[in-house]
Amino acid sequence: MISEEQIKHLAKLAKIELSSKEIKIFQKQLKKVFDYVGQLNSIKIKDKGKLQSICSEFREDEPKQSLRELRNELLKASYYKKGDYFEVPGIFDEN
Amino acid sequence: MNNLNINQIHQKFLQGKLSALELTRECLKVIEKKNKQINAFLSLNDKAEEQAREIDEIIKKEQRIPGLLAGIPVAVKDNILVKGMPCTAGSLILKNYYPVYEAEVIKKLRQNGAIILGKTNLDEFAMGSSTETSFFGPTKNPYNLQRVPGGSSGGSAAAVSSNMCLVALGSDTGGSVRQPASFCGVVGLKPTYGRISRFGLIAMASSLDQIGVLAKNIQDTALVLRVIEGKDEKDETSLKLDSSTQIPVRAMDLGNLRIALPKEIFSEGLENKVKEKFLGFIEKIEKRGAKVEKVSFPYLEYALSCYYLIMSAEASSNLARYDGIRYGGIGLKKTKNLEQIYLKTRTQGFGDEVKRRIIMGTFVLSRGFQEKYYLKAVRVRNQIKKEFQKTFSKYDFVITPTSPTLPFKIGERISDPLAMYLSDIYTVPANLAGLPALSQPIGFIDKLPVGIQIIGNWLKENLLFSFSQTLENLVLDKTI
Repeated sequence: MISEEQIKHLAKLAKIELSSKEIKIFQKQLKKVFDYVGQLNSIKIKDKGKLQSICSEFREDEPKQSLRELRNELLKASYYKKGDYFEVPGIFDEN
Repeated sequence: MNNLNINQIHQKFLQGKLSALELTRECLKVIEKKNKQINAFLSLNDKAEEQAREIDEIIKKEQRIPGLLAGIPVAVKDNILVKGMPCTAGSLILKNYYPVYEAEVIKKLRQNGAIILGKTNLDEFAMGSSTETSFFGPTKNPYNLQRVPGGSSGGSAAAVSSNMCLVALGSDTGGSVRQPASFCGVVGLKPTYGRISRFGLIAMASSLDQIGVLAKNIQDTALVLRVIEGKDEKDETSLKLDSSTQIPVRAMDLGNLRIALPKEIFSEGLENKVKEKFLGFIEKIEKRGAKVEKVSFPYLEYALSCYYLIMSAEASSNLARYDGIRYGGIGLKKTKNLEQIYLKTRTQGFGDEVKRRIIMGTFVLSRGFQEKYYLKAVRVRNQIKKEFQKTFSKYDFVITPTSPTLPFKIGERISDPLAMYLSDIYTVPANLAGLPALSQPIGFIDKLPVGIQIIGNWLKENLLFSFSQTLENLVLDKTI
């Protein structure tokens, strides 16, 4: 079942840092949840079924309102901006 | 005033006995008095009185009610975007977020003259069943301040229940409208998936999320649905509604009804007092001629597992967008690289329950486990849908308690996620199947409200309302 190592790895994939204490707690809690949902493994379903699309209808892909009008408002929502753009630190460390 | 429905209030508006401004001020007065204790509202609309005045002027000048909800104070769960007001989703990560657009349901409320009173508290990103996981502190149950109001739409339910507003919007992914409605003694509706546009609802699990209505009675619930429902090209899952969805709502003869009662609900977990109250009510319905039959839903016992796998998978993907750069963020000082913004923002900005579900969903979707968990859950979901299809070919409604327990104490379940999840056991099937379902009060146990859940056939909300109206009359002991 789900191990502390796995929790650590999943947190990394999800871009979340967990302290070792949190990892321990999450492991206990999630183990309990996965023990419960593991009941699904006991049932066999002949009907493989498919992932059903839930979309009723797609609209035409036509631009309607220019984002330009919203640009200032969108930028206002961010701490990271320069002029008309978002500005973020580099992907690699700056040295 | 607290016992009047919206139509009766509109009559008073026309007769000059009450104004929208008076009604709005009355609500604001109650909020001022009680919100410190109950913590139902996170923010208030400072234009509410001004908007009420505008409605009053039209009524005075034109002697007509300008819109189905004209002058009616409405509370909105804080995961639905209202222009000009913050939208926090109960999370630190969106504490300073002001939406750049407005939810379709809010647009429709405004077109019908509703007064948006304020935004209500919720479990962080609607993840919870008690409104305890909100970054802004828990909401309390108006009937007992030591107990939870249910969740995640606990703020909306508590607001309606304590007369802070007339009606409220919530969202329901696994029971988040119905369970708090039951805990707070009000009506809560989760409509058919697609009946209401989700445009402007902060996404949790997109194939399950649906905006819902909380109100004091069935008439008001039906009226609000009529205002906010319908096809919206901005939500491709929203449905066109034909005239069959618009049949009139009126109390009905129970004599011709066949009602299914899932056998599986009597397994462990159902509190004895709740069971007795529920069965007592079923007896009342039977006395009025309805045929209630115990029916087996073999897949029902797997519904909660299926739900938590699908929900966490979709939630982990939906919440990937909170990167700290768009939608506010938490205002970190300069970091050395982009990765650090993501990590620090999400680590500090999300609470424990959100992190738990993101990690669970990441696991469910990861290589090697996707087949075992996610795809299995999808197949079980299809079977649950089929079971309901079969049931509705023979029965008019499915009936269950809304929650297996009475409102529990604050803090009682917060460190045991599985115990918390189990409080949704009767409500998740309707989300998995996309069916409309409603919780309505049937009385009290130890001074705490109890609700009953009625699940209807796809898009048959109005029939569901007619049945519920009949039951409401029965509870109020009116002749039917």
